[in-house]
Amino acid sequence: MRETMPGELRLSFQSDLNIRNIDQISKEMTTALDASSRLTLELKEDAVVDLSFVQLLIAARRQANRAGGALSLARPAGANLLGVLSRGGFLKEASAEDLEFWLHQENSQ
Amino acid sequence: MSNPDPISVFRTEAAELLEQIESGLLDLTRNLADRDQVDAVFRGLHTLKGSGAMFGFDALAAFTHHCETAFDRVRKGEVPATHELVSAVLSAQDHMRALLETPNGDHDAVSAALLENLQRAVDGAGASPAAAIDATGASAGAEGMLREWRISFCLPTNAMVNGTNPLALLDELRALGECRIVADTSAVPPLEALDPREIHLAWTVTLKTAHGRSEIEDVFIFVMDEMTLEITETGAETPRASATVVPAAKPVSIVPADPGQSAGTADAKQAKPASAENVRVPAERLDEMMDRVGELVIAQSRLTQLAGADADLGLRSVSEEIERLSGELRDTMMVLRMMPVASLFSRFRRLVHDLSRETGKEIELITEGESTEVDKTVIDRLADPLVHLVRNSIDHGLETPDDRVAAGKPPKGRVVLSAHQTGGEVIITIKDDGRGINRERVRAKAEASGLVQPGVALTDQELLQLIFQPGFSTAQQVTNLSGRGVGMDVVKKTVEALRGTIDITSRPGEGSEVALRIPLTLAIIDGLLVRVGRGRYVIPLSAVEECLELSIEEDLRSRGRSFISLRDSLVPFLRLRELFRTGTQPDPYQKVVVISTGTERVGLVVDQIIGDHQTVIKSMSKLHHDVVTFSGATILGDGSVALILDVAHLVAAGQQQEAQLRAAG
Repeated sequence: MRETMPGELRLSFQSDLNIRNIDQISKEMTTALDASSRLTLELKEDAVVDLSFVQLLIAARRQANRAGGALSLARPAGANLLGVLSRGGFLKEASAEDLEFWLHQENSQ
Repeated sequence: MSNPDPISVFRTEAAELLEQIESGLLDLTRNLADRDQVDAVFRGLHTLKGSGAMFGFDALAAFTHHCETAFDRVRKGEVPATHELVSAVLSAQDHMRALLETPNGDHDAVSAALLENLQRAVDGAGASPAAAIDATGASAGAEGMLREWRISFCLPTNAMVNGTNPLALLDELRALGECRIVADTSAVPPLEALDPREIHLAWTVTLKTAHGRSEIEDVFIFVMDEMTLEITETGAETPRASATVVPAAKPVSIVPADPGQSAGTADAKQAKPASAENVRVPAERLDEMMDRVGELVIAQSRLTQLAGADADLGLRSVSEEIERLSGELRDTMMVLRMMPVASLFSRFRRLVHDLSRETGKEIELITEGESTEVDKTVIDRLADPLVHLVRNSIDHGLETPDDRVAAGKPPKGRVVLSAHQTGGEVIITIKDDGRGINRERVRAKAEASGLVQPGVALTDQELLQLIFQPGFSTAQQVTNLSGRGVGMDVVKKTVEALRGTIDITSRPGEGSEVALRIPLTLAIIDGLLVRVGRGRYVIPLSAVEECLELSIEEDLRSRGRSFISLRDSLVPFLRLRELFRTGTQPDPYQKVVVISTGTERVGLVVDQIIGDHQTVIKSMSKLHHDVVTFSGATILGDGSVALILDVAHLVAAGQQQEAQLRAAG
């Protein structure tokens, strides 16, 4: 975890992002959000991703927004995360904010 | 409080899954055509495989996969269910337990042999023409007809931990036809309120497919029991002709919890999964809580004593209130530890199934009173002794079908396992309709092994109880359980350690019955507080038959004999003052407390009977594990310690003393 701009944190995950280690990821994200509600996540490009991580990001976004901050991804969703989002139906009726969050794009598909 | 280790949670749940699979397999042996059981076993195997792989039990997942495949073929009607196939999977299921317990062990050879056995059973069953049975009768309908379905579902919150991958379910729906999948994230809480291993997502899928409702339901077969699923046909069209809209069908909802609950989507989303009604608590936490309640009872006892000596009415009132509350808390705690004996009895179905195959005897197992509840510790400790008693009934009690027919009995022998509660104890009975115990042989064996002197008269009950004596078992009685060191004497010791007794009856040619009488609870007992010399001791009240006065004259008269005459029968007694070497003079009016285990009685001479006492049992330290006269200790209201007498040991000691005196003439 490192600070970039005043009040903003970057949190990097170099492990897989699935149910096997979701508890640990959740703890790290909670700690980071407690420190700052403006949080940017760096995800390992080829990390194995499952729905538990997608759900965790949704929950973390809600918490950051409620605290007046924001959660963002350092890069648009990579292949694995994108695959989960697509298979899970998260992009079909996604709002512009959601598409911006996941894909860094403003137009709906 | 930290989350429990996911691996240990998986082990616990996998063990329960294996029990369910075993139960399903045993049900199948009674009705091989039971499609519900085939589905249940298949679902269990599939879940075990999935969750095993998820938690790194790769060998278990790989091995289970083969059994799942075999049962999938049965489910699809490609292979009929046969007794051989069910037995092969039962054996494989035992191996799954080993793979669960020691995932890194060397299991390859056993795995290979069992899979070969399974393959033989599948081959032997012979493939029958594939006949996909649609239990609901709702087939795909006219060939080429596309229908549109709206499928809304949310999974139980523990679905992912249990190995269900929602994405795989969605992929399966995609495989059925054109899909539009929309995730509903509205129920996901903020991070601070989220258990990250739970799932709070829901989906709405619009599917155009030529497949029917049953194929759609099949996608959810493994989770259907606990999920919320709504399938609605929203329209139909033929691809070539112009669309013919069929009126929407009534939605089919599968909502597990409250049958009266609305099946609508909004309600369904709010519906708690059935699992939310129960909380899984580790047994050690219950034990910790029991310890705290025990401490509370002791403190309350002290408070009552202090308040009784104080004239302050306010203090007395509070003390009485606390006494009432702690009594209620203790009763509630006792109930928390109670479990139905069904969990104990269920394992005997498998034992009887296996023994039936081993011995060639036809056996019917009947269980009664399975809802009777006993302390969890009793369930745990009685498992092995009961296995031994049931084996004994089958091995030595039941005759072969030919012998039974020759004796005018039905060829199928019967073993009845029953439980019922009477007062403060539960009675577990193992009864068979076999040949009964051969008393001549028992006597001959007892004399040969020196347990009984030739010619000594024994009552029928005394004779039958000999089979529980150490050293009575002979090679003829050794079963494959004996290798675990469980003999009939160990059965008796285990029951006595639970402060229970064993009654046995047997009629030649008609069968035998062994009744285990066990106290309902083990942690707190009603005791009789007595004084011997300057020490105080507790005698479990359930063992006390009566109390008598022993005058100095009687005491002097009985010296050297140590018998009292009690309604025309002589009862041996033990002078606890001498046994405990108190070095004190006896009180002028000593008391005899007559205690019994089953039919055997003995009197205990004490200086004073103080009264009844709610006794919180504390274990003796390891340093005292060889002290056999006491079964535990308790703390009295004034903070001092009283030892709890081991009734079984004292009765045995009294009987031994009687036997020696009789032998001495």
